[in-house]
Amino acid sequence: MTISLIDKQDTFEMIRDRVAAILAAETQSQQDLADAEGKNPDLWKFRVYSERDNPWENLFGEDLTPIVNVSYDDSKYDISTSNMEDQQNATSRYNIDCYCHSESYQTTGGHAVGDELSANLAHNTAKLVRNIMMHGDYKYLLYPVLPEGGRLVWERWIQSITTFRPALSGGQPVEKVVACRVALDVKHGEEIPYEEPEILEIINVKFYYEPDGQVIAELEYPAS
Amino acid sequence: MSLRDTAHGDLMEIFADTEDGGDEITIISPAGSDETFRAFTNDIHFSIDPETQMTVTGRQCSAAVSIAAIEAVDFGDIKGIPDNTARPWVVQATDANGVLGTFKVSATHPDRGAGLMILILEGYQL
Repeated sequence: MTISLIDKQDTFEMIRDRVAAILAAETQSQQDLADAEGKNPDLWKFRVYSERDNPWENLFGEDLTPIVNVSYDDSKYDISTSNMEDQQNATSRYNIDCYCHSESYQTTGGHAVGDELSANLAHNTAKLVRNIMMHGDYKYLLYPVLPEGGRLVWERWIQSITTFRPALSGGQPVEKVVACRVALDVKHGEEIPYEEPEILEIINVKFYYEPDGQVIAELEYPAS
Repeated sequence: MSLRDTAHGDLMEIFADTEDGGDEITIISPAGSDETFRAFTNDIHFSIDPETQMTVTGRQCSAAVSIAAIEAVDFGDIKGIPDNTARPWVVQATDANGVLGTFKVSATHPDRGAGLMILILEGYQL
């Protein structure tokens, strides 16, 4: 076997974590800025999560702060700008989903309606996400120029913003939940460290199928 | 007596049964007046699908009341009020553990064949 131990994150994984970190840092910064100007910082507040799959349980019970979940969707590799050895260029899609819930409440002259409040809150949260991710400071997601020149990330772009409204065919929930998806595309490189192999020892390899179809490789190392 | 009259009569008996019938709820009109009714309430888990491939756990609440009972106290025009310049119809009901919940009537499903009105509820803060 000539491949050294693969003990690193791929760039698409690093970008996923970087996007979540940027959003987490900026929402806090925005709250501090709003507070300094005498404005309600809660309007700039959201909770950031990454790659959550379990249903959002009771997260709207007492704390109605919007939830932003960053998840990796897919990558498309560009063979025309890549090579067959150690550098592949890709465009990765990240879904930044904003979940918002507002409850109807009594006002002096009537009442504030929850469905409208929820939709406006979802749009506001998506607005914050877009403004953060498309700010010039984050053009390259804070990745510096590489020592050998070039960049790890050379483009990021908000591909679309989509608002989802829950289907009512199965009934209406007590909670008025509206979700907004900000689809972020990032163009980046993926590197595979390649070294000329040095023959260390000869290994015998036996390949066979298990009864359930699993492919097994048995390596026999020479006696030392 | 028709089959419908029989069914309606049975329904009224069930509502009126204080031991085995419905539970008490309070309905508050947009004008601020409140009345107590016997109703069958439903408050169960509901999976909200925002269509992001991840669900949100929520609740689905409803209350079934007698149309005759609500019309008897001039609450017959109960409905979901979307207008934010008006107060909504409000329902207050306790769950099986006695926890009081306050809801806004977001929609009504009247069944005038049986004499039953189902109130679809959403969260509301007084």
